[in-house]
Amino acid sequence: MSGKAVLILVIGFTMIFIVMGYFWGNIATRSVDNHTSYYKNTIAHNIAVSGANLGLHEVLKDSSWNTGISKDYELGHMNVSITPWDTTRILTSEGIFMNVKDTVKVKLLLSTFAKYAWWIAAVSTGSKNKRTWVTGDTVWGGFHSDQFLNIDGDPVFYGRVSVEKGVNMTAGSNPKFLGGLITGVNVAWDNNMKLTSQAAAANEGVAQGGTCYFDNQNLWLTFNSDGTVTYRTAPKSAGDDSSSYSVPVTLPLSTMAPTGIIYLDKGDVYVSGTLNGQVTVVSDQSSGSGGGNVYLVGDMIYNTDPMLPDGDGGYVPNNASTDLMGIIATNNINISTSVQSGGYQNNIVDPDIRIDAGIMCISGGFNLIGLGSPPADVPLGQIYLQGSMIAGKEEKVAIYNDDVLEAGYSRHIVLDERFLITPPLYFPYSDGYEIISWLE
Amino acid sequence: MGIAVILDIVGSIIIGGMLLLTLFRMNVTATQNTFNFSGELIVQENLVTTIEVLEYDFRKIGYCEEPFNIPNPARAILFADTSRLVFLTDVWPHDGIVDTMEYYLGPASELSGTPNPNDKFLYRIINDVPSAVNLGVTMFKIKYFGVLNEELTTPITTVPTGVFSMQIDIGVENTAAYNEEYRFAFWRQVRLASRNLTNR
Repeated sequence: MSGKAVLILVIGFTMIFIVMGYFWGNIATRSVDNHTSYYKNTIAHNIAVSGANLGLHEVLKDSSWNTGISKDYELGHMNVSITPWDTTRILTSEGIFMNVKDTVKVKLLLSTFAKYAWWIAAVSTGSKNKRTWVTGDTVWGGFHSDQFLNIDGDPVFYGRVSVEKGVNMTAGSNPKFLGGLITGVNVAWDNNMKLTSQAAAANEGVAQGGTCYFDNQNLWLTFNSDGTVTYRTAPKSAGDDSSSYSVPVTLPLSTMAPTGIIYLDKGDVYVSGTLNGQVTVVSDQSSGSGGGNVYLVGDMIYNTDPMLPDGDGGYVPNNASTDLMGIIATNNINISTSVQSGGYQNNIVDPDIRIDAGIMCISGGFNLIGLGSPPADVPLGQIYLQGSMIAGKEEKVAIYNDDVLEAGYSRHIVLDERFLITPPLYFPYSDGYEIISWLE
Repeated sequence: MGIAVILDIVGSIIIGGMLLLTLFRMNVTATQNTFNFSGELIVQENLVTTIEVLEYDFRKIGYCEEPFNIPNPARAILFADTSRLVFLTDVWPHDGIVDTMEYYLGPASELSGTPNPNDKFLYRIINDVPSAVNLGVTMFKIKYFGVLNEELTTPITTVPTGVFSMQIDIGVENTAAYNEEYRFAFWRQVRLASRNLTNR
């Protein structure tokens, strides 16, 4: 009898332990499953991200790359594909790990130079340390240099900063990179870029009855806030003496430049005023002909501000502004400080200079005339640029002693954020793509 | 009735009693273990669920299916504090319309109905429409870092915020536990960076 009871007891306890063991074991299994599931998702995700990075590396090396990638990677597998060459492309990367799949999708856009607030391919002459960014210099928008970025003080960069050779900072400097900093990035630049499409557009404008193609002379343009533009011409020998120029002719901008471009070959353009409309001014230079410069003889602004203060020290795009200007020069774009007659003296009377435009200097740079000599041997004020400055060479607009401005202008650069979507008319694109969205 | 029988009965009572006590004790222990193990599992599942949702959302800071609807993604973070983050994104089904998403941790007083005094609602607000989920979150802390990996002082209210990456800490407890022995699970994302913040 007692033997049976013991047997029942043993069997009973055994059953209970089996059930409880199964239950608790199941909990442990589910707990491991939970961790494993997260682990598998994470690894699949990481493989997909790695695939996207590998694919982007290929696209940045060769913008026509479309081979794709399919290979085993980190005990998983990656498949990378990309849509054919076009203005926009979509790169898709799949990461597969233990039957778990994750996808990263990256949208690419053919990059316009106008997306940078400040872009430099090279420095011209002298020590690299002569072109420093100092306390008081502020850039709202992307910044790129194929050279060093030299810092002496506390400049502020609100957009992404990319530099090829790195950042040189003097001791005690405390720059602010609020949009990120990437080093080792080269953006290809062609110092001999041909402006053939711009010339063709100007010829098309002439065919439509416009007066927008000039050559072998100087051109003086004053934009008026009522949507007209006043122009004068002179032989190249007239230089910066405005009294030598022809009788002013004022035309509606759309009449003068029906295709939105005013093109001068073999001469210099002198420009100022208030633009009401959209236009790109080109100063081209055929080989050995001279010219190819633009002189800013006063403020060159839009009728409607493109960017508005946001109240917190920053700026937001003004959607009401439809004015859009590009200024492209084969050589330099100069801030004039000449005391010759004409509008030149504006830049002396008004201590600051305001420019609303995307400006590009193909083989030259953005330059201050006579820096270091009267009247540009003292601090003149600030350059308020709302737009974009692209230059083949970095020229000088200021002389600093440590981080103290001794002569010229400090820089207050605000990217016209509309350029991220719509660059000025006929503004050149780069050969490469940029990432415009990353979905993971 | 002889002495032997009485001894048998007394012995049986003692042995039976010990067995019963063992059974009761085993029952209590089994119940406790079941609660604790189940609670542990629930905590871990809740933690993974929370961080998967969080990672999914935070990786899309500044993302939009129509990229130019957010022309400057560096401005996508609108407000950043230690347990609150407001940003622009494009929520599922990614229709190209910019949405505003906010995460913040509510006060413990909102969940006074649960036995756990520490659990809080983790709010996920899309375009001012809140959805509060009680997954037993007791801690939600974010640290923000700039491009030079410097920690940024919070709260950050100026846009762009200069945030380049984030460290996210989350702690989860079970909302009810045996004998108030709450299980705790902790997760830290050392650096999470949304690629969209710096892509232009």
